[in-house]
Amino acid sequence: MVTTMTVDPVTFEILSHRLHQITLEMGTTLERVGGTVNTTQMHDYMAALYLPNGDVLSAGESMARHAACAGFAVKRIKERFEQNGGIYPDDIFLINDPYLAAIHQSDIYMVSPIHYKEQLLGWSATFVHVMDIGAMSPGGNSPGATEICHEGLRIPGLKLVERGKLRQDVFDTLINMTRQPVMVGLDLKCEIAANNVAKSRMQEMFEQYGAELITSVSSDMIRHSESILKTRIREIPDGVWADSGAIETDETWKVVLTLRKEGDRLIFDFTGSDKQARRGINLPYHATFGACFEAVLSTLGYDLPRNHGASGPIKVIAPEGTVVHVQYPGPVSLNTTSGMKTVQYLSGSVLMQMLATSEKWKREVMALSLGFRLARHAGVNQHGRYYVSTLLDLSGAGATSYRDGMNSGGYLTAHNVEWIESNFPLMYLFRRHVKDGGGAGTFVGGAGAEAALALHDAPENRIKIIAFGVAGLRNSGQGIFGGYPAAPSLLMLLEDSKLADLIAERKYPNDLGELGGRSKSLPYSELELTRDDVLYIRAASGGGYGDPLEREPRMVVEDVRNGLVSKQTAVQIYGVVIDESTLSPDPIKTQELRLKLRQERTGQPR
Amino acid sequence: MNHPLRENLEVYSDQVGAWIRCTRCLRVLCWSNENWRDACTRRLASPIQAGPLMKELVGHFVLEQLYCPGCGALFNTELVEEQKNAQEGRAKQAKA
Repeated sequence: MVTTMTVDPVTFEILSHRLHQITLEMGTTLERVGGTVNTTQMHDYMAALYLPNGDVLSAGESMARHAACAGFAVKRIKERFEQNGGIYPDDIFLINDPYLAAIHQSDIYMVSPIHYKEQLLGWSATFVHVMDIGAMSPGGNSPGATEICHEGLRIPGLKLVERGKLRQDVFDTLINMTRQPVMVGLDLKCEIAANNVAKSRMQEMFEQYGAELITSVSSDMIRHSESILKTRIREIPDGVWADSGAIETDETWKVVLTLRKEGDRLIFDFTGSDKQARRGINLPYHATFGACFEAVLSTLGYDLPRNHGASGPIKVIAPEGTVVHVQYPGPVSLNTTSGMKTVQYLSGSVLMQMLATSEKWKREVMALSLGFRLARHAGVNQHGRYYVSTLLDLSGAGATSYRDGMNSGGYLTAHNVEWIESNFPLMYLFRRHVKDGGGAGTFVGGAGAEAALALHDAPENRIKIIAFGVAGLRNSGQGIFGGYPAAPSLLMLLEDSKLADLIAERKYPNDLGELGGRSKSLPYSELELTRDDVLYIRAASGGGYGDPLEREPRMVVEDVRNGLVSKQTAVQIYGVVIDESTLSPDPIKTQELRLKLRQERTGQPR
Repeated sequence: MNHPLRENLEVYSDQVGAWIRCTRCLRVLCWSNENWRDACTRRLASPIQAGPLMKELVGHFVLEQLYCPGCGALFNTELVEEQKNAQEGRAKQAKA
């Protein structure tokens, strides 16, 4: 047991930032050592530090929901190995069981004890989304799975590195059970590397400052975050806010959330949500908790050290056997882009309603997204090797009370087109921001991106596509406080297109309409992409904030100039008439049109 | 206690009680424990009214907008399932 001491504010700042920096270096290590596009380009990973008991010490800048879940991973590993097998310096453990800690099996957590002078003083943890896990569908997201046993390897905890030495027999067994042993092997090794980096850096800190000071700073960081967060919550009027949503495929499951704010406590209650499904949309409890933890951090605690302190004010009620607290043998493989998106939306929605009731906090209100479509692709590439990878595009962010949403970005970033084309048998026909994608409003939602792809240089003239994501039509960004919803996110297959003819005629298809063929929206499914097919992905756009008739006309014209809003939308939704000679808003005609549109709302002249 | 409720709406208290009112025209919509949505002017439209890319939603959703009955300030815009909207409409007719 290390004693603690009083820490002066300057030392506190320096050391808390240094701990944060360690998590960033862990992330960089994952990117540099990893092999798959998810890890090296898309930031689909997490790197964080933990206290000896598994509480989050520093969640870094990666996905906070996973940082919360990895805390559960540390606790499960401690329970399993403290009495049986032991926890020794330089051990590294692996766990991906969704009923214990992970969100779905593809997210492999590695946790590593950090010892200094033989004493356990903390843990590091990482996750990466490996590109195969031996499930029934390549890539791990299995639309056909009806129970967890269809969804690949489920590991309740094993020691992958023992006292600094890789257990080669275990490593070989793991990668041998996947379709992509080399890439999965690289991803496992990048996690080992990142945990080794964390251990080295932490041990340097213990050496330089002493365990007593670091332990004191760690405790203070958590107290600091919890104390400020509770003060902020107390500033908001008590109340109850509710919302409900649906997880949709060819079936629909309801999710209900009520937020009760009492003093400095936030109680998220999912009572009333549907029973768990025989499709992989279900969330384990820790994932539902993680989504609420992340929502609170990103709304009320975005400027605070991200740690266990954010858990202090939160209680999450999620009845067992429901879509938000799955029990064995409920499947989960599709959950991060289905159930999780609904829970993220709802937890954000009730918090936004709550913030809006506070004069001090209403400025922070932001339009939220219900999620997006995406796909895996797998087959033999132009280099003759089997592969599995991901296709998604950049979403637009929701507008806030004081600014437009970012047109493309977010935590998960999109892959590089040239990299995809040089590694996989695919050709991009276009990739660009979506015109009229963002929800209209006083502040407009981010445009989001769209892309069309076709097969190119594929030795087998076909690859497999696994379609998933939020498959209902009501997805994408939703408007807030009068702001309009964004265009839906789509995943479509265009069969028997005229692409080959157009290319032969040296014509460049710039629009889906030019490609001809039959289009169909893809439900959760596995299908083949063959010659003459085109796959179209439209990412989520951002929802708008406030009344579009109150948007500054010059900003609407700027959007038209930038190709983000059509002239038709400028007139019909924003009530802005553009003077074609000057390409600027016509003030008199705009005022007249807006007056007319307002009169139509109440049916009375004013 | 007075406090905002959302853009253009606030909870306002006087000697009589607590109300929800429009901050633009100060029109009182309802008591604070009632649903302000029921007091709004409601307009339903095709999803296309929210932009040309909403065409996939036609037949499945309608665009519901809630306005202040006094000044036309826009309080809420939402996609509502067409079936659910029709059911609610029938329920309201039956109640009337």
